[in-house]
Amino acid sequence: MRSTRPLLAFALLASSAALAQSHVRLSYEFAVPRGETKEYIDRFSSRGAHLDASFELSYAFNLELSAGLNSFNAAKQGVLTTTDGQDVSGKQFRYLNVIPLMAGFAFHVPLGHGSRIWAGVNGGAAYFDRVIDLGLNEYTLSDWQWGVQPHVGIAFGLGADGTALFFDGRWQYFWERHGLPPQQYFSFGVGLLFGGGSAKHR
Amino acid sequence: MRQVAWAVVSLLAACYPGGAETVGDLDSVTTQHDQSASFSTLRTYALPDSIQEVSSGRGAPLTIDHSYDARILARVESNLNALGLQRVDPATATPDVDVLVSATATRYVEYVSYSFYDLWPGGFAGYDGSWGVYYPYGAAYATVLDAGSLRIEMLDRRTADPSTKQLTAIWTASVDGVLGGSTESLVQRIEAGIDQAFVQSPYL
Repeated sequence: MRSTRPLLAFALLASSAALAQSHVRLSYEFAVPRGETKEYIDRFSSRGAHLDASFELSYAFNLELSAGLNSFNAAKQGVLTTTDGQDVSGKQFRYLNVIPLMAGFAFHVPLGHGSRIWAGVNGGAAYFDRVIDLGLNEYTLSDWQWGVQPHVGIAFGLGADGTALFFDGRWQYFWERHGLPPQQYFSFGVGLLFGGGSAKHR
Repeated sequence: MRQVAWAVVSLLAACYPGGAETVGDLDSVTTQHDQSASFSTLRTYALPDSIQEVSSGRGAPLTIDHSYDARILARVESNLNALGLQRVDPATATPDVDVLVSATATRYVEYVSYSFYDLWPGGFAGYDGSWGVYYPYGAAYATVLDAGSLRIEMLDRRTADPSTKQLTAIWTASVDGVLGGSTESLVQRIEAGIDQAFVQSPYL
């Protein structure tokens, strides 16, 4: 049974109906760290992007595939305790690059004229790359962490070709793994939605 | 459209803070200690009147100016005294710990080559970032960095083992940084680093 599931999913995605309703969203994002992420970097990120592909499985119900990048950085003065027991003080230049790779489902409500609102939840993992430049040394700690990504958005149609301007927001939460603390941040995007006008239900 | 893309890239780059802006931004203080050592029972220490030069494992050693040794050692002494420890002459009394201060000054040289994109990201005279640069004579640029460290070692005489001739280091501090600026500013950075080493070692 397990081996047939990918085939069913592929058949579902490849069906002409699903492809006909699909659209792609490309956005620029900024992000606001929360929780343990904020303790590590207490500064909002102005560098981020997301690429989402959305496939309508049934009316208003979409499969979402999502990939992104959010880069945080901040300078902090303080003492860093390393994994080998050293206490190192000085000006810390902290960097955090997050690459979330997610899949999930969302409800898309058409508003007419290529506009829509949506809400959904993605699940998956993200690669967290933490780097601290301190003095003449660099300290790194990187790993994958599992997480969820509830998201909402609204798109405003720009023309008959299905292109739309959209705004979205996500809460990205990742569970503790391998001793790395849980991570979370809010991200807000603005971008363009392509292919949204081909939906036959609109 | 291309201008718009460059404007966006420039805007985003402007939001990205660079790294160190002054040599002081590269200063760091590293401390380590023996978790099993009894620091609360320390009463006396011995401190030599000079700073020993030691060589780094890499790079070329630089000449060290010892005219400020007394000032630096006085800073170490004042921090130890502030802990309630008493300095003793090892010729007349056996201290609980020996505190040794050593220094390194090293020049590190790295030879590197750059691609055309690294040299001029926006392109120049019809050549854009996709072009490469061939250096037939090998690496083209040398990056030179002069760095120094002041190390403070606290060696426990109470647990010295004469049979194996081994002393245990129960606390080590390393004040590290780039050698730059005036000598006075360098000494002030070292003094601030010594103070910081004691501040971040509350167990002493």
